[in-house]
Order: sequence, then structure tokens, then C-alpha cells
Amino acid sequence: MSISTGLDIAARALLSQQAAVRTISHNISNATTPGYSRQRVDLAAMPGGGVDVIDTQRVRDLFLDFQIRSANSSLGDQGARSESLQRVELALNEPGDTGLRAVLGRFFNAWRDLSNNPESSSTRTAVLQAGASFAVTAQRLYTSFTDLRAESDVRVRQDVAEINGITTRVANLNEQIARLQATGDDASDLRDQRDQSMDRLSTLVGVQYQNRDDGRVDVFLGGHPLVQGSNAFALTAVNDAGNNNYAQLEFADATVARIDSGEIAGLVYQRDTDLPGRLADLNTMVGAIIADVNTAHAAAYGRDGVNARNFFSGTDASDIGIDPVVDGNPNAVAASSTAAGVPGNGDGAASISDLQYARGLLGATSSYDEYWASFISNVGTASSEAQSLEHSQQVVVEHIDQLRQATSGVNMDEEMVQLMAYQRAYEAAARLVQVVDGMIDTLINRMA
Amino acid sequence: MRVSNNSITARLLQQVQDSRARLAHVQEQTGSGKKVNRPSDDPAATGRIMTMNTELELNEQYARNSNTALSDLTVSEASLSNLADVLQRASELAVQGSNGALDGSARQQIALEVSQLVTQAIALGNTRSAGRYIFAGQKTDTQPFVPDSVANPTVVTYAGDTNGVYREVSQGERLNTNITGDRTFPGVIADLISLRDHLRANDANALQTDADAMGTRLDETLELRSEVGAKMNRVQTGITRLEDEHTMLLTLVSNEQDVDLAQSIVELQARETTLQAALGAAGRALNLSLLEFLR
Repeated sequence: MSISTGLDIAARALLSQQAAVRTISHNISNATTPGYSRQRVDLAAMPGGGVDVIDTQRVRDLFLDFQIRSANSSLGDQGARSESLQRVELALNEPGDTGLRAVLGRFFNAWRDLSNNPESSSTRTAVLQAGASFAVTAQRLYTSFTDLRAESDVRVRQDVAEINGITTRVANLNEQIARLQATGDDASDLRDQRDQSMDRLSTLVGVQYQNRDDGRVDVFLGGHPLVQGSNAFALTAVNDAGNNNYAQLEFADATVARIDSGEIAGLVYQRDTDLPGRLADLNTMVGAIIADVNTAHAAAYGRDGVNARNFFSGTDASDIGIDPVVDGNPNAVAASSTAAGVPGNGDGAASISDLQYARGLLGATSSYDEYWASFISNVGTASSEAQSLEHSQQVVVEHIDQLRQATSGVNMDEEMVQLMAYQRAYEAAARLVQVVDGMIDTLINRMA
Repeated sequence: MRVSNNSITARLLQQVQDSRARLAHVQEQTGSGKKVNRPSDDPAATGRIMTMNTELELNEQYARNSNTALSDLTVSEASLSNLADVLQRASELAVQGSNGALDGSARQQIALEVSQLVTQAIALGNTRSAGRYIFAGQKTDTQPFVPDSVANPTVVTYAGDTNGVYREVSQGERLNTNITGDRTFPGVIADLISLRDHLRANDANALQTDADAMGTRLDETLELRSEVGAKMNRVQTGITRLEDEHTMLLTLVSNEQDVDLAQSIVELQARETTLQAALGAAGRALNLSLLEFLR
């Protein structure tokens, strides 16, 4: 073995330790960078002697990525449902003194007051006010639910825009990673970026994906490609004329996207299934109240001795109001059950207040109050279920993330210890140069 | 398990946030005094609270109705009581007038007082309460007893009807609270008028009969008054029952809805302590680093 070989070995050792230290500084610098995976230099002994850097690799468990993305999709779905239902609860304002229950109770009690005092113009005015207050509250709920649907739609569209941004970025990263990988260069940081994009994408919409050998990743949505190699396939929000012009998600080839999880799935579920169902329930009750009150009111006589007038206008919560004939005309409010009984007969008003006891809803099993209380309980149950599912999904995501951090996260203490090890190795290699140099010195200068 | 710096921070943050969220929950309960602030806090309790709140409001309405009924009945009772006084006096005067020793001019004097009693009886029949003629049946805006002459009535017609006025004093229970003027009043007024006329006509024999008639009318009126009195008792009992129910419902609603303040304050303190502990742990854990020991 020649002496210069020893210098070669020492030089390679110096370079290798330097590379290792560079990687450690990279790790330390990115200890708090979101999505960063710690990197590791692979050193190997060379057949002719000495050491060399074989590869720099990020430490990553692809199975955990897969798990967390699947959990993310469920979390996004439940999160959207839970938020929407909590806002429904906020709009309902129950149990309380300003919710529909309280307003409806005051409406019927106003009729009871009128029945006690059918001669009075002020009790008639009070009935009109209580009726208007019920109509306004019912309409406000209708508007709140409808607004929530529209807001869900707006967020679906925003999510689509974000998804298209992400898939374009993933396609670009695919291209760059494939190129680096082809030339044998390190693409770890780009992979981290791509993984972070994939994490976010999975929150928005549940996707399937496949890692390719060339370093690219293919992403599919319900069997249709979102990213294939270096190409992204944009989603389009098409206005669906059959569904309030809400967004329907299609690909450029007009295939409708099949979405079964992720935030978009939750938003679409709220927009197209949950909220419309609750609106229909609200309308069932308000519609029944309008019809029942109008029937009883038309049978009774106003202070002016006239009957056959409606009290409410409209057919459900969307358009309920006080009938224009009665509105602002207290004498048209019917309190008497007979024409001759005007003004002292309050039996007509009593027949309207008695509607509060009648069980006319849900196949004649439920009064308005019972119907509404069970409606509210249903909302509460749905909301509390969605919240607890969201919470448990959150725990799952955090748990997997902890596992992922355990593999890929940077631990400063570990890096410091390794830094010292490499530093010592570097010092030793430097000493080696010195020793070999001394040997050469002995050989050249002392041998003469 | 390896622990990365990121996961230490993330976990500590999570712990602190969880502690804060739990604290906020108890704070909301303590602040509002309610453990059910929205349906999802307890869906079943929410349903029960709503049903009981409606029952409470109905209870208050029935109490209001009962008080209206009570005031209707009180006014009727007072009027009938006054009518009984009128008849009592008329009865005395009839007996006095039927005394054979009396001469015509003395009977004329008595007739003057009886004439006043006729006017009083008509006025009592036309009693109004809160703007309503209470003895007019449902024709509460029509004066029920209209004399042919105000100064010297000879015929008084009843212009009201025979329909009842009802108050809902509990669910489905409608109590009739009026006495229609067709009962007792027309007979009383007619008999008073004939008493007056017999006094004027100095008809001692007829006055004998009138004295008996006055006694019968007085009994009738007192009977009517006790009918009203019985109804008042019934309403009064109902009001007591409604008040008991009200107290019970308030307790039930409160049980479902209100927080036990002592308990929630203790819990509040416990959670504050937990949060402080979490913050303290965070402060210490974040300071732990090998760098502290490498000099």
C-alpha cells in the first residue's frame, strides 16, 4: 500500500464527515419546518479502503402517510358536518326565550288572551303581533338554513380551486423529482413538499394514490385520474340547474367526480341531504300551522261580523306572513264562533288556541310543540354525534402524526450527539492527514 | 419511541388547548348558569326542557285566565249581593206598605223609595266591568236592560242573549263565568215595578202578595249568588293548584337546565389547576435540551 493511498483515504473521510455534518445542519435548520423529514447520509466502507457517501435519504414511513391521509379525509368530512350542524344550533336558539318554540307559545297564548277579551282591540293587535313574530322567526330559520346551504356551496367551490392548485403543484413536483431521481440526485426536500400537498389534498377530498418507480405519484379521485405523471386533471364546478345552480364537480371530459370523503363530501352532504331534510321538517310544521290556523280562523267571525278570512298567507316557512286582509286590521281577527256572538264570544279564538293541543303531525301522533321538541333533539343528537366523531377522528390523526413524527421528526439532542460524533471523526481524519504527512516527511527529509 | 422536537411542541400545545377547551366549557356553564346551552349539550334534556317551558307558559296563561275568571265572578257576585240588598229593602218596604193602618200619602212616600230601588236594580243589571256588560251574555257591548222610560220605567226589556262566556282555566277545562241577565233580573225588576205601582195605587191587598214575591226573589238572588260563589271557590282552588304546579315545573326545568353552582365552581378551579399544570409542564419540557449541558 502506498503512502499516498493513506492521504486519499483521509481526504475521503474528511469529505464524508463534512457531508454528514452538512446533512445534520440541514436537519437542525429544518427542525420546525412543517412536513420536513429528517435526512440521513448513508456512509459505506469502500472496497479499496476508506469511506464514501452512498446516498442521502429522508427517513419516512410511507404506510403512515397512507394512514394519516385516510384519517384526514374522514376528519375533513366530519369537520364540515359538525361545523354546519353547530351553526344550525346557533340559528335555532333553543332552548331559549327567542326560539320558534317560545314564539309559537306566545302566539297561541295571545289567542287565549283574545278569547278572554274578544271585545278589545288591543288584544287583537297583540294576536297580529304574535302572529307576525312567529312568521318572521319561521322565515328567519328558513333563511338561515338556506344561507348555510349556499355557504357550503361557496366553500365547495373554494375547495375545488384549492384542489386544482394542489394537483398542479403535485404534477410539477412529480416532474422535478423524476428528473432529479433520473440523474441520481437527492429529491428529499421536494418529496417532503409533495407529501405535504398530498396531506392537505386528503383533508379536502378522499383520493387514492400510487407511488411510481420513476419517483412520480399518480392520484385518483373515484377512479378518475387527478394527477397522472406530470399532468394534472382539473376539477370544474359546474352549476347544476337541477339543484339550485349549486356546484357539481366534473372533470374536463364531463365525467362527474365521485366524492365519498373529505371536507367536500361533508359540505355536499350538508348542502344536499342534511340541511334540505331539516328545511323540509321545518316546512312540514309551519305549513301545518298555516293550514290549521287558517281553517279555524275562516270558520270564525271578526269584530266586524265577517268570516271566511285567512289569518296567515303563504304555504310554508319560506313565505309565511300575515294575510294582507287581516294585517293592520285588528277587527278582521276572528274571535267569535258565531256571527251573533260578536263581540262577547271568544270561542273562535279558543278553537285556534286549542290547536296547540291537537296532535295532527306525524300521522296524528304529535302536537306542534312535540314535533318541534323532537326536531330540536334530532339536531342536537346529530350535532353532538358529528362533534364526537370529529373529535375522535382528530385524536386518530394526532396519534398517527405522533407516530410519523417519531420516525421522521428531528430530535435536536440526537442531532447534537451525531454532530459531535462526526466532528470527532473529522478531527481523527484530520489527524490522519497529519500522521501521513509526518510519515512522508520522515521518508523524504529524514532518509537523506 | 423517538420523540422529535416538533412532536414535543405539538403535544404540549395540544394538551394546553385541550385544557383550555375544557376550562372554557365549564366557564360557559358557570357564566350562563346553565348546563344545557345548546341542543347538542344534551339532546334529550333539551327536548324535555322545551316541553316543560311550554307547560310553564301554559300554566302562567291558565293562571292569567283564572284571575280574569275570578275578577269576572267577583264583579257578578258583588252585583248580585247589591241586588239582594235592594230586595231586602224592598221586602221591608212591602211589609211596611201592606200595613192596613197606613194611609195613601204614606204609601206614596214609600213608592218614592221603591222607585229608586227599581232604578238601582236596572243599573245593577247593566253593570259593566272593563267596558263589558257582564249580564248581557255574549252581547257584551249592548246595554242589556232598557227601560221604556228612564224616569218612570214600566216595561224593561232584556236586550242581551243567553250565551255563556267561558275562561280556559286548565287544559281543555272551560269554566262558564257569566250569569246571563235573563235569569232573575227581569222578574226582580217586574216585581219591583208592580210593588211601586201598587203602592202608588194604595192597593193594600196586592201589597201583601208583593211582600211574599220580594221574599221569593231574594231567595232566588241569594241562590244565584251562591252559584257564583261556588265557582269562585273552584277557580281559587285551581289557582292554588296552578301555583303548586308552577313551582314544581320551575324546579324540574331547573334540574334539567341549571348547573349546580357549587359543583361547577369547584370544577372550574380544578380545571384551572389542570391548565396551570399543563402550562408549567410546557415551560419545563421546552427548556430541556442537550444544548443546555454542552459548554
